[in-house]
Amino acid sequence: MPMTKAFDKIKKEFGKSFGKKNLKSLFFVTVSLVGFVLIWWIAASLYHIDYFPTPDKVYNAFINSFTHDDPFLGINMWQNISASLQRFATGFLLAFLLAVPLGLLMGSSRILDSLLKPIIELFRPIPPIAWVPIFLIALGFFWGPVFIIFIGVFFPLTSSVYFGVKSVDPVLLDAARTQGAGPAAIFSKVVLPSTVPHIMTGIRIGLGIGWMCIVAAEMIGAVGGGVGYYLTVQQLVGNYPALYGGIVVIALLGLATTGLSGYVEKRLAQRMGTK
Amino acid sequence: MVKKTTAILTVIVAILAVTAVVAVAVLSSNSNSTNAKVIYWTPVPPVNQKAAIANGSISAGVSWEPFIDDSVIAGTGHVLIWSNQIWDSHPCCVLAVSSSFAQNNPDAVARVLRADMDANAWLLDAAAHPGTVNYTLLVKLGAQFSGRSTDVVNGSLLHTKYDTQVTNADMSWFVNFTKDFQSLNQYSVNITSKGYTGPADYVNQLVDQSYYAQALLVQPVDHIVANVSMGYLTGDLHQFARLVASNATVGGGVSLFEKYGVHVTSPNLAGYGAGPAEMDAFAAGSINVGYLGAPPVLLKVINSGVNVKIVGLVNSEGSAIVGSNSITNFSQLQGKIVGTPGPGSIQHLLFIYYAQQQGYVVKLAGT
Repeated sequence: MPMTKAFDKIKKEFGKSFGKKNLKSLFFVTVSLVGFVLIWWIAASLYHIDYFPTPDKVYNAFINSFTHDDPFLGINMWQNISASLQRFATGFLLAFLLAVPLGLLMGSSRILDSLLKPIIELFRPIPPIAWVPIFLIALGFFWGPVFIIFIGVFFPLTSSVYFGVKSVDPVLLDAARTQGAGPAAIFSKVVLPSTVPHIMTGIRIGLGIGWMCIVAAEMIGAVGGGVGYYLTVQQLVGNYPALYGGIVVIALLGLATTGLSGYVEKRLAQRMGTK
Repeated sequence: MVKKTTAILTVIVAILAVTAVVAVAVLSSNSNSTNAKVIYWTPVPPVNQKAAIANGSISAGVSWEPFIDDSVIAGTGHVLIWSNQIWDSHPCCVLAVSSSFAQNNPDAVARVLRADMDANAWLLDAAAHPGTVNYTLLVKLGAQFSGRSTDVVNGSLLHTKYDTQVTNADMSWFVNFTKDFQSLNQYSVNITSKGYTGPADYVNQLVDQSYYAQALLVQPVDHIVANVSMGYLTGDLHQFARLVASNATVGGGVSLFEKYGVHVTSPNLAGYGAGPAEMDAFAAGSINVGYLGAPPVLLKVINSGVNVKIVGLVNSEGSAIVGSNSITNFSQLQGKIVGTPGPGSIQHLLFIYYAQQQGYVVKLAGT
């Protein structure tokens, strides 16, 4: 795990700098973002092309998407976000309920491992998005996109749990056995606790991938709208500022999702004393 | 250690519980109420509508040929209403050219139109004489291009009108479509802000009928005088003339396009999925000439500032609302879901127009 260690170190350093040199950091963040918007504004004004709108147009379209119903969809951005999040939650939940037990079983049982691994390894390299055209016809317009999310979350989560079980400290296992613990006790008191941080890592990776999938899945079509479908519609009718506005919404949601899961993971790791 | 584990597991269980509540909320909110006069729509590409109607995902679909007859011949759906029963003689697909290309190569545009004109004449003659060699060739071309059976192609030929000339009646239709888009609030900017006095002025400036007059004077040449990059829709049998004009057998050794000195290439050999994508290809400069529906042109010239002119017609009519076998008339679609190609398409506009005319409110499925 040298990579993770290095990453944690960077995070720690960054956290420290944010604590001590808060103002300085804030200053640089502001300069960086303001500079970006300025360059964008100048470039867009110079080129003056419809599909490269100026920041003020994008800002207006962004605000407008929340305050007004979209004329094509008849719903506003809050409803689109809610549709996407519901789809996301359903797919994620299904993946979680299946991937965690499966990972635990495969990690604990050699026979199951040998039996299931070929199947998992066969499907794992297939990008979730590749299933989009088939799922939307085979599974309908609600379950289709949900299963795209499911696939996106399922594999990283299964792998993380599996490696978590495999990487349980053998010294702990021996100690437990010496104390006379049976398989059930070993599983609940040694294997499971050691696996929890890995489950969290799997959740974090799964969230990131799942979020990428939702947009792609909705671009083909989805019942009840969604942020991905909002993008498609704006492309169809050529409302470019609104298209950029939708991309901003997706960026913010992505930041929020991964930021939150990263935070939960960190806090859990601290509580577990694995850091 | 045990205490910590319990705490962690509690956190995870809590997260799962919240997710479960959300998921249940979703599943229960998916039942559409049927007490109001509402019909729902959801985006389904026409190529998938047959399957979606057959598996019950949608109760009806709005599409163009060959996808209408695709359902009808398979026995999985039937036509509830043809587009000409809603909008008699309405124009559908048009020939559009990039404005700058047309300015610099007016002769090339006239030559493309001439090949299209001859192709339409050949097509109409062949379609009127079943059993002839030409008819067999026509149906074979359509079947190969659309990936559908010859029966489906036969049906498509019966339900579509093919012509190259934009008439004044067509112009009035374009004005009506523009007004419909205005009343549905589907222009992201006011058309007057783009320098037009109103819908009629907009359509007059968008359509250029002069190339058609020039096309009548074009003579065949024995060498290539123009290179054209062309866009068209995947498997679309409204755009049959392009298929015919590209075929060497029809032209007697060289295609009709080549007969008039035009070498045609296509950046997207499989065709585009929908008209809006073709408008993007115009904007990106990858095509100079395109066969596509009139509504995407009317919408995207205003909304996206794509510089094109409509120089010819491709077809009229040939769209329909196809219902599943359990739906016998339009009123039974109340509270049900109808698939459309999505906003910006003529089929979507047709569906909204007709549903509103029948007193229904049209809503996105799941809202």
